[in-house]
Order: sequence, then structure tokens, then C-alpha cells
Amino acid sequence: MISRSLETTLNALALLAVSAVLGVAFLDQFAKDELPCPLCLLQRAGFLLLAIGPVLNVARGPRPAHYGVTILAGLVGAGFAMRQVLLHIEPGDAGYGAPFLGLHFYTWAFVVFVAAVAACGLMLVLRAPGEEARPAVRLTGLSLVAVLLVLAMAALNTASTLVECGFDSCPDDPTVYRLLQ
Amino acid sequence: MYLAALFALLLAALAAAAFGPMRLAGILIVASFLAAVLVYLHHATDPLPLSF
Repeated sequence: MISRSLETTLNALALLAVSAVLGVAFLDQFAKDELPCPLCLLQRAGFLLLAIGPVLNVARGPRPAHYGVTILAGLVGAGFAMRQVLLHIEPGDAGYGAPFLGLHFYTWAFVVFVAAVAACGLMLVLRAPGEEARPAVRLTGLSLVAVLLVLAMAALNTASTLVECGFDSCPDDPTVYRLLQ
Repeated sequence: MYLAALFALLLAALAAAAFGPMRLAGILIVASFLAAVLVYLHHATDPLPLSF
């Protein structure tokens, strides 16, 4: 069994991992000038959905229901990613965007969403029973930094998506930032 | 526009989950999941290149 403090730390690290994933996506967007497609943006939204469970765990204390939220988010996000994988499954299809470490971002996204579901299963097995009865801890230190980083990523994605798509529907294959035209 | 709105909704849900009342957080979390799935269904119109 793992202690409550270790469980909280692992959830904070999960939030940092989500922020890192969104950070890499931003880096690719701005450094390589690759605009994310609507499905790519939806997968970023999936990662923010994935962050809700760990945020609840670090802010209100770990509970099985919070892991349930993460598992649902992982399944939803994996569905988004798998849709994009299947759109480019045909032999000879170059895929959308440049590969990263040999795989396209949507393939990595699918792997991470599935890994998150597996990690939740592992945490539910390893956590001490009855821990949720204890009062929640205050949001400080690593947990606070991790939560603020995820909030910053959500805010940045809101602004960048607004600049990219403008006040209209996002094009399937975006080439320009509409609000900067 | 609605994708930016989805991110704004997620920002509100995450902020409420961390600092807000649990009732508000619950409403915003459910709304975020529903909005994400609705946006997905709006975009998932192209047929997949699959044949069995």
C-alpha cells in the first residue's frame, strides 16, 4: 500500500506530466509553425480533461471517484486520438504533421491516454483503503505549482485556439492564424 | 470559436476543481465532458478509410 502523501505527490507529478505534454505540443506549434487541426485541439482538451482527476486528488484529497473521472477522461481522449490514427491508417498516408520520436503526435496521445487509464487502475489497487475518510490537505508546494501550471496551459490553449480559429469554425487543415490575418 | 469555448470551459472546470465549491466543480466537469464529446461528434463526419 502507498501512503496518502506519496499518493498526493504522484498525482502532482501526473499534473506536471500533463503540462509537459501540452508544453511539447505548444513548442511544436510555435517552433515548427505547425498549426493544430481540430482533432489535435480536441486531444489537447482530452489532456485537460485528464488533469481534472489529479487536480481533485491534490486539492480535495485522493478518492476513488476522482480516479474514475480520470479513467473516463482517458477513454474519451483515447477515442479522439484513435479517430485521428484511423484517418491516416491507409498505407502510403504520410499522416498529419511531422513525427515526434518516430510516431505522430496523435499516436503518442493514444499511448498516453491508455497509460493514464492503466496508471489509475494501478493506483486504485495500491492505495490504502479508507484513506478518503481523512480531511483534505491544503494546496501547497509541488501540488500548488502543478495545479497552477495546468491552469496556465488551459488559459494558453484558450487564447491560442481563439487566435487560430477566430470567431468561426476551425478549418480541418489550418494554415494561418485567422485573428492575425 | 467553440473549440476556444471548450478550452475556456475546461479552464473554469479545473479552477473550480482546485479552488471552488464542489457543486460548481461537478457541474463544470460534467459540462466539459459533454462539450468535448459534442465537439468531437461535430468534427467526426469524414468517413474512415477502412474496409473489412
